[in-house]
Amino acid sequence: MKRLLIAASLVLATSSPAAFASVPPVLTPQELDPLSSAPSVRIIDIRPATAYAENHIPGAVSAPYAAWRGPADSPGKLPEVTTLARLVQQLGLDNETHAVVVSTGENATDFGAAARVYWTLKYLGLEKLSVLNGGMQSWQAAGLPQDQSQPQVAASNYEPRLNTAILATQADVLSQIDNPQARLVDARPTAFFLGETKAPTASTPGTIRNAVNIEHSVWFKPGTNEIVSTGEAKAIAAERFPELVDDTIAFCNTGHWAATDWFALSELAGIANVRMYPESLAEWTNASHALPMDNTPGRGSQLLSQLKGLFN
Amino acid sequence: MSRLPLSLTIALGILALAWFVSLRQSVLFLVGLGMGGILAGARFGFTTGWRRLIEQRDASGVMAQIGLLAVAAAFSMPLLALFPNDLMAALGPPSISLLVGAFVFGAAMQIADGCGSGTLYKAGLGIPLNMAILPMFMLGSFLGSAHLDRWLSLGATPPIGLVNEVGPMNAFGLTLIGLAVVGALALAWSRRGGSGEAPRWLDRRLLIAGAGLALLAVLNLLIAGQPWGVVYGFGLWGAKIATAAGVFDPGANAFWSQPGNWSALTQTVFLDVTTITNLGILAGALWISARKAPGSTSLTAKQWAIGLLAGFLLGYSSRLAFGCNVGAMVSGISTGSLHGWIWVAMAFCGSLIGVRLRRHFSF
Amino acid sequence: MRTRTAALALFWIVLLLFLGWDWLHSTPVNHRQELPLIAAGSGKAPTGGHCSAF
Repeated sequence: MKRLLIAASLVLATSSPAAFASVPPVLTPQELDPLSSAPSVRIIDIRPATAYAENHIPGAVSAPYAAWRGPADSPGKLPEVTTLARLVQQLGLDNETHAVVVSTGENATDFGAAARVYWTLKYLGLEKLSVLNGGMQSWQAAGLPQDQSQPQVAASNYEPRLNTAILATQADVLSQIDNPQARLVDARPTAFFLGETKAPTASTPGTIRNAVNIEHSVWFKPGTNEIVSTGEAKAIAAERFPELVDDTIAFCNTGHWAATDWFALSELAGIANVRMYPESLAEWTNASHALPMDNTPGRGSQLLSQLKGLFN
Repeated sequence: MSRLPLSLTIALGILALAWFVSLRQSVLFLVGLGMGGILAGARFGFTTGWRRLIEQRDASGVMAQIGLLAVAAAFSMPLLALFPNDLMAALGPPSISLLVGAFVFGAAMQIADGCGSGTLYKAGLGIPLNMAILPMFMLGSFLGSAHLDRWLSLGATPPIGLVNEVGPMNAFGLTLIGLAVVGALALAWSRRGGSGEAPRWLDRRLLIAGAGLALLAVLNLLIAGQPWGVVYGFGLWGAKIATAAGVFDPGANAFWSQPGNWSALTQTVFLDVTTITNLGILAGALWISARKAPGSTSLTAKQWAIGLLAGFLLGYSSRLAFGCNVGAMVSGISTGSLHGWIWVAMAFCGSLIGVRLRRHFSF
Repeated sequence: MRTRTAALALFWIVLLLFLGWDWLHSTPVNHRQELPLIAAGSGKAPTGGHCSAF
C-alpha cells in the first residue's frame, strides 16, 4: 500500500504541469520500479547492445554510450547536434517525457557514463531527467523484474534548444583561468591531477592551469556504487568550496568523470553556474598552441621518457 | 682553426636542439654531421665524379655513386613496404619542368662546381664560391617554388612509385638492373679511345664513402619519415625572408599556401627536416676543414658572376626538377620513383654541355 | 689566408644571424606536439616539407 502511495505521488509529481522541472535527478530502483510502466517515462539503457539484449528493465530502450560520444581520438567531443537530435527523437523523448538514464552501475566510473548522457540530454534542452542510482547492478540486487522485450517507441519531433549555460568551450576555459571568480575543477583521480600519470588521449600529463582537484569518487558512499544524497552532496560541496563563485567548470580527460562532478555540484548540491568542458584534456593538450597547464613534466623528464620509450 | 672549440660548439648545438626543439631534430642534425663529414672527408663530389667520367674517362666517381644508390635502395625499398603509413618515398611527377630543370641543373652544377650536396659541403669547407652560391641557391629555390604551379601547368603526369606498383622486391630488382645498365654504359664510355691503359673505375675510398652516405640516407628516412633532401630547406629560408620583407604573400601562392608548406613558414626552420640535415652537412664539413683545409683558387670577376648565376640556376632548376642530386637522384631512385631516373638522364645530358661551358669560361 | 678566414667568418655569422632571427620570429615550439624520435613504427604520417612536393 505504502509503495502504491509513493508511486502515485511520484507519478502525479512528475506529470503535473506545475512540476515541469521538478523530477529528482537521482532515482533509487525502488522509486523507479512503479514508474517504469508509465507512458511518459522513458528508461534509456546506455549499456552495450549485448547487455541490453540479455536482460533489461521492462520498457527500457537501448542507446549505447558510444552513440553519445565523439571519435576515438577525442571521445569527449559532442556528436553533431543533428545526429543527437535524431537519436533523441528515435528514443521518443520530448519536453513531456521523463527520461531515466540507466547504466551498468558497477562502480563510480560507470556512473560518469550515466551522468554524461544526462548532461547531454540537458544540453539538448530536455529538463525532466533522472539517473538510476546504482544502475542495473542495484536493480538486480533489489530483485526487481527484467525482460527482453523490445518496446515500440513512437518517434518524437523534438527540436533541440541548446542549453549553452552548461557547456564550456576551450575558449571559455582559457578566458577563465586567471579569473578569481571562476573555478576550474579537475574531476580525475589525484595521480592524474598531479601529473603522475596521463590518459592515452592526452599528449602530456598535468592539469589545466589554476585548476583544483575534486576526484569524482568523493561523491559516492564508500564501498558502494551509489551516489550520495542531495544533503550529503551539499555538505561535501560546502566543505570543498566555502565561497561562492560566478563560474565553475568541470573537466577531466574526455568529459566522463567530469560529468560526475558536474552532476554532483549542479544537480545534487544545487550550486549555480556549473558547466562542463566536454572535450577536456584530450583536446586541451593537443591544441596547436601550448595552452596553460600545471603539474606538467619538465623538458628534461619529457626527453628522458622519450628515450625510455625507445627501449619498450 | 683548432678542432676542440668547434667540436664543443657542435656538441652544444646538438644538446640545444634536443632541449629547445626536439629529440628527433637533434638526431637528424647528427645524421647531417655524418653526411658532411663523409662528403668533405672523402671529397665525395657527385659533380666531380660525372666530370671525371666525361673528360678523363675516369668512372670511379660514377661507380661509387651507383654503389651508393644500390645500398640505399636495398634498405629503403623494404622499409617503405614495411612502414607504408609512417614513411614516404620521394615521389616527384614526371613533367616538362622535370625535363627542363634536370637538364639545367646538370649544366649549372658543372659551372658552379657543386650540386646540392656539393655546394653544401664545399661551403662548409670554406670554398668562397660555394659559400657565396648558397644565398643564390636559396633565392633560386624560393623563386622556383613560387613559380612551380605555372611550370606544372605545361604538362605533368602523376608520380610513379615502383614500390607501390610492383612491390619492394621487384622494385629493387628493376633498380639493380637499371643501375647495372648505367654502370655498363659508364664503363663502356671510360674505355672509349682506348689508350691501352686500364681505365680507373674502382676507388675504394669513394666506394666506402658512398656506402656510408647511403646508410645515413636510410637513417634519414627512418627517423624523419621522408628521404634525404637538400633543396626544400633553401626554398623555405627564401620564402620566410621574402615574406618578412613584405615582397611575397604566401597565402596567394599555390605552393606556399598548401597546409604543410604554410605551417613550415610559421614555425622555426629548426623543425624543418631538410634544413636540419643541411646545417649538419655544413657543420660536418666545417669540422673536416679544421684539419684538412681545401686549396683555394682565385677567380676573375667574370668567373664570379658566372658562378653566382649558375648558383641561382641550381636553386631554380632543382625546384623545378623536384630535387637536386640528393632529392631526385639519390632519394628518388632509392625509394623507387621514376622521376629520379628521368632526372639522371636529363642531368647527364646537361652536364655534357656544362663541362664544355666550364672549359669555355676557363674554370 | 686571412681573406679566407674573413669570408668563412662572414658566412657563419650571417647564417647564425638568420637562424637567430628566425627563432625569434617563429611561433614557439610546442613540445606537447613533439614528434617521436623515430618516424618508422610511430603510426604518424610524415608531414614535413620535402623536395618532391608539388
